[in-house]
Amino acid sequence: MSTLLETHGLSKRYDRLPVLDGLNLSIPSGRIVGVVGPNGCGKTTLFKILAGLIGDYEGSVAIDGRRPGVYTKSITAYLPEKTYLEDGIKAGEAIRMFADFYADFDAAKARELLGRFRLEERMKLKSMSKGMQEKLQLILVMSRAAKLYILDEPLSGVDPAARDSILDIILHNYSENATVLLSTHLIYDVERIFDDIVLLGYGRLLACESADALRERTGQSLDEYFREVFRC
Amino acid sequence: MLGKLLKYEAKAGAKPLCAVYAGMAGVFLIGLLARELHVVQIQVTTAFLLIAGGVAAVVMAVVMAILRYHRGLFGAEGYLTQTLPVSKGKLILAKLTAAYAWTAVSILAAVLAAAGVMYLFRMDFAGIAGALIDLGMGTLLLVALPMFAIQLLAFFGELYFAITLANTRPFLRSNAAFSFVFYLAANFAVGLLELVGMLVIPLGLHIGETGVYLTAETMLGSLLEWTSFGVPARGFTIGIGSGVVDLAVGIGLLLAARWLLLHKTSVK
Repeated sequence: MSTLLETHGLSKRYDRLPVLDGLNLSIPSGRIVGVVGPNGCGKTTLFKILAGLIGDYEGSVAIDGRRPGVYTKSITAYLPEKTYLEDGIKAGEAIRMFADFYADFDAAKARELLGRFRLEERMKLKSMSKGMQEKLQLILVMSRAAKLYILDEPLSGVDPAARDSILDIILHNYSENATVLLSTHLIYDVERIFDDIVLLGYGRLLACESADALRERTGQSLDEYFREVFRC
Repeated sequence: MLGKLLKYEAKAGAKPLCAVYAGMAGVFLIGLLARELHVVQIQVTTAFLLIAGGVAAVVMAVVMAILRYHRGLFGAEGYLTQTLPVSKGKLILAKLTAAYAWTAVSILAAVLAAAGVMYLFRMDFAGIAGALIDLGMGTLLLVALPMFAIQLLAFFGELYFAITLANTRPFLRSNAAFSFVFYLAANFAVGLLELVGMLVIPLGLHIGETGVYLTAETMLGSLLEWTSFGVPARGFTIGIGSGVVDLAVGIGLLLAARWLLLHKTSVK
């Protein structure tokens, strides 16, 4: 397996507070990686750096051998925590926009997924529930044949049924040989899908290994291990 | 990719601005009807509405340019815009081109509104234009139009630079307030540079008895001559070197905004 994502000494401070502190990561292609850690541990900051949203960091980042930029954005599908589409946009318009900008976007697949999850092309974002909005954004992201999917808390704030369908979209639609980075606090619900785990603790890397190896080493599930490490 | 960005930027401005233009056209038609029916009150009201519409269109175009830049790059939409596989330079260029085009169209709409008011009151449009040309205003207009176009570039350079700087880490918490402060500061600094450019760059419009023509004299020289010897018989020079300053500053500020966007800004 070739290395898809590498960081060396990646550091980022907000004012004087270090959010990422010398992070060294090496993640190969074709893995589903759970990025977990408590609130404020730097998961979103790491994802923003990888997505090319933050440029003032220290250390180095390489995705498919290149610094975050136009090329890496063309092979990275990023789902932020926030709703990033305009309120007034219709689902169909969002599909056309993604088709315009991303060469790897499969509009037919997006339409098919829309139908499967009972979303209509003429529905406006502002008329959708939070779960529907999350599904639409996830459909857009997962309809790309990207090399790297970065999914920041895709399961937060949605009911268990929507959670299942969101996981279903992720598992059945990411392209082969691609890597999925998924951050979540709902470890219990999703740990079964993780190949690898990246455990962040206030800017530092506490673990980066295969999920099975971690379970074997600790004798605990990922959820139990997480609760033990970060117990207050 | 730039073409696609432009398509979406232009589309975002089209809805509200075209509604204003259509409203102005409707008001003009009502005014025409009122003129034919000799209903003076409606005629006056439509004239007022036309002028107000023209002003509103220009203000709206500028406000939209600010909002499109701020929201599109640093608001929630920034998560999409800034992760598109497009260079930061192209993102700024697309926003600038759309903002520039909509502002120019809105200014044209405002000028047409003024012409429309003159037409509603049966003013001698051709006569006024002819008199202005006889006074040498034709040459002035030929110089003033490109000068204004360059000034608009500097204006957007100041705006975009101020907003981008306000979205860097130290100012992020109050980015709207800092955008305003930085714009005022940039505008003041550019104003001073324009003044210097107008006075010392040897490029001007000479206005004298023989008419209005371009000259390589400085305005400062003309002013010194004026203060030393009184009003010179051969006329005086108005410096237009500020246009050169505006062009350089506009491009410089846009490049600075691009650099900040690439290296120093964060999406909230």
